[in-house]
Amino acid sequence: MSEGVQASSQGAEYKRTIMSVLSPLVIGLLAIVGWYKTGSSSVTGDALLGCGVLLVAFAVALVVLRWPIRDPRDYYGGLFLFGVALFMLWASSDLPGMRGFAFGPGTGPRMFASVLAGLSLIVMVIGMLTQGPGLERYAWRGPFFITLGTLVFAVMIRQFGLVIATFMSIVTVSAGSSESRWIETLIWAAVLTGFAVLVFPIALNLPLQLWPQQTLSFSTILNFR
Amino acid sequence: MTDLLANLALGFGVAFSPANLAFCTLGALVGTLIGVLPGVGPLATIAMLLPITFGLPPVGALIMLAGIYYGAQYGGSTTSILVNIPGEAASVVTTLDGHQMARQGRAGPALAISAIGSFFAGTVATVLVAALGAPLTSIALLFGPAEYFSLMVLGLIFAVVLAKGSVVKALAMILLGLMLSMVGSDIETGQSRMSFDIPEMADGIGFVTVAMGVFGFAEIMRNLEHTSSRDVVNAKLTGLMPTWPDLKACAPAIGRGTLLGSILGILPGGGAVIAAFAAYTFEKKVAKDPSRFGRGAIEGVAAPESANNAAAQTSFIPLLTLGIPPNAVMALMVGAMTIHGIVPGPQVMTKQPELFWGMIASMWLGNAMLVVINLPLVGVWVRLLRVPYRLLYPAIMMFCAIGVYSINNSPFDVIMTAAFGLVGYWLAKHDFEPAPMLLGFVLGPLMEENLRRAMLIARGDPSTFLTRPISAGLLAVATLLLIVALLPMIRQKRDEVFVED
Repeated sequence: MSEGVQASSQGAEYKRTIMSVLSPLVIGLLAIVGWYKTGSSSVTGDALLGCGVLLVAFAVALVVLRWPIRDPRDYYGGLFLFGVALFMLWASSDLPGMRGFAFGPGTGPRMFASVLAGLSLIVMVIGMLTQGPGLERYAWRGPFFITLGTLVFAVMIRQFGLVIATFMSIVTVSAGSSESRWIETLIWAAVLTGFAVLVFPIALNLPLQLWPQQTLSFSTILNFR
Repeated sequence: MTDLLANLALGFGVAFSPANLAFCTLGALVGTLIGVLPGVGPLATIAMLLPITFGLPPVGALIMLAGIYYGAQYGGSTTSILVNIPGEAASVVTTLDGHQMARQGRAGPALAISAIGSFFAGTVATVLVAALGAPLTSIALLFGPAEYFSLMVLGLIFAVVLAKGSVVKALAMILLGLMLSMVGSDIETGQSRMSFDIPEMADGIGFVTVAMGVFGFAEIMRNLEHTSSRDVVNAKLTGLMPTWPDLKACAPAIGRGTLLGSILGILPGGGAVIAAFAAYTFEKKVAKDPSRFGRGAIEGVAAPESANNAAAQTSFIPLLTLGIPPNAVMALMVGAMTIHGIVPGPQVMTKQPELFWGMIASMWLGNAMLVVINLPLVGVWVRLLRVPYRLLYPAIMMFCAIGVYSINNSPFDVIMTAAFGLVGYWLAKHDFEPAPMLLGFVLGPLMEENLRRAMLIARGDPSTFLTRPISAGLLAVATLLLIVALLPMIRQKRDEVFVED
């Protein structure tokens, strides 16, 4: 990393934002909380604590030593995957490990999670050392409405039936495109809903309920499973 | 030889039953219908259409899926030629000359030659699959758990080496896939792993949820970022059939493409993409006048299209004989087979010959369908391309949502799909390839099982993977490949660092 420090003092292009310091800090603190939650001392717990402390120290070093982040795309990519690996380690920490020379249920997950942690650290370090194309902008509108529309479908299908759930979901999803027009969307949603009714329950004979349940009431809505 | 013929006869007997014929036709049609949508490749298409095959008998479902696969691939070529948008990586090269031909008013011959080339390649590759299936199966029977594990490692490394972009990132994606596959009940003890007491997670994360989220939903989110300006060729499609000189020019190109594709398809990890690129480059090398390429040379369409179809076909060989999917599309096929209670591998051929040979025969049939049905329907596909995206994507989303829900009648699966859609979007933004992840996800349980068994047999001694000759050989090849792939990257990165100094 010595090259990095030199490059920054020479004024090479790099980005270090609040996000890039906060992210390792938060993930590190979460790992330490994870260690605390695992309770009894185990190798997994120790690993979590070690990684947590390492990440916190790293976040501090980012600020103090003014380390540059040359390619935020790889930096965040590696960092969050590292976080996922730590989370998986934590989630599998209650599973029994090796018994004699036989693998236990926890051996595989912990093994793979450790390798993933190692690889994601490499990705992160590469992201700090080499110049990259930079972070692409996130569009919020498409992903937001597509996710929301899908959730609408998931929450409504059991109690409101296929017709209403599909219609509402299509209208929500359509809001994800800046080119959608209201009247057109409503008509199109009605057409598609009709098509869905013809295809799924009728042609494919799937057991889907078409209309709202008789027992539908305000108190049962939240119980969508 | 007589065995081969008898087997093929059995296969065609199965495939030509009216019901299966109908499934194949329907699959090819629907596959093209979805695959022709810009930005929706075969992977996304198969992921979206998987649920509709669940109600069918296993043979019918697999035949329909094979039809969908070929249909989707052909749909991808159609958009490459007409709109200059490749539906998938394998048809990127087709855009180079195909779209130029379309602009010169020769969209018809370009589409036709791509179907004819694909059909020829498919025919040759079908025979190859049938011929190689039996001998490879007998090799597979020599494999123990250690060999299987090493073979899967090799397959995954192949996928990593041939994936575009960073090797380390592709490796990380495989590991992420392996991790996700561990969620749910442990195979040996039945203990619930990493499922956080959510009842729907006890069975593990659904394969369709991951595939549809990461490929289907994420794809749509990405497509919505770009405003839709599409360069649809407006000229009327006249003269569908290529002329005699066209055919004469293409015949050797199709032959070479088929040969290259068949070989590359068998290799794990490679498949259609590499085959198409290799065939195009090769054609350019052997051409008398290489400058014609990129300006509408018909060989530039014929060779890669034949190659990617041949490769698509022969990539069934490792799947059907060894039970190991060589690429992400085949991984989807494994998922579909498992849902129908079929464990892919050498035993499929001996225990369910009508399934094995029926599928091989239906591959050929699927190809034939493309020529017979899809080509005359080109006009319809073109009209479909003119439908604005703002109307198309809600329809796709609707089918996905209902499809996922109908697998288990579980709203939770739909929520998971939405979550994986966001994951896929994030991965794309950070330049991670989702395909190796899917491969890892499918191979995960198999790998863990074989690893555990091998270790148990060797009484906990990990050197068993190196002392058994076949296993050691496979691992050596894998290591070598990884080194070869990593070397240039390390050198280049180091150069970059030094340049900055």
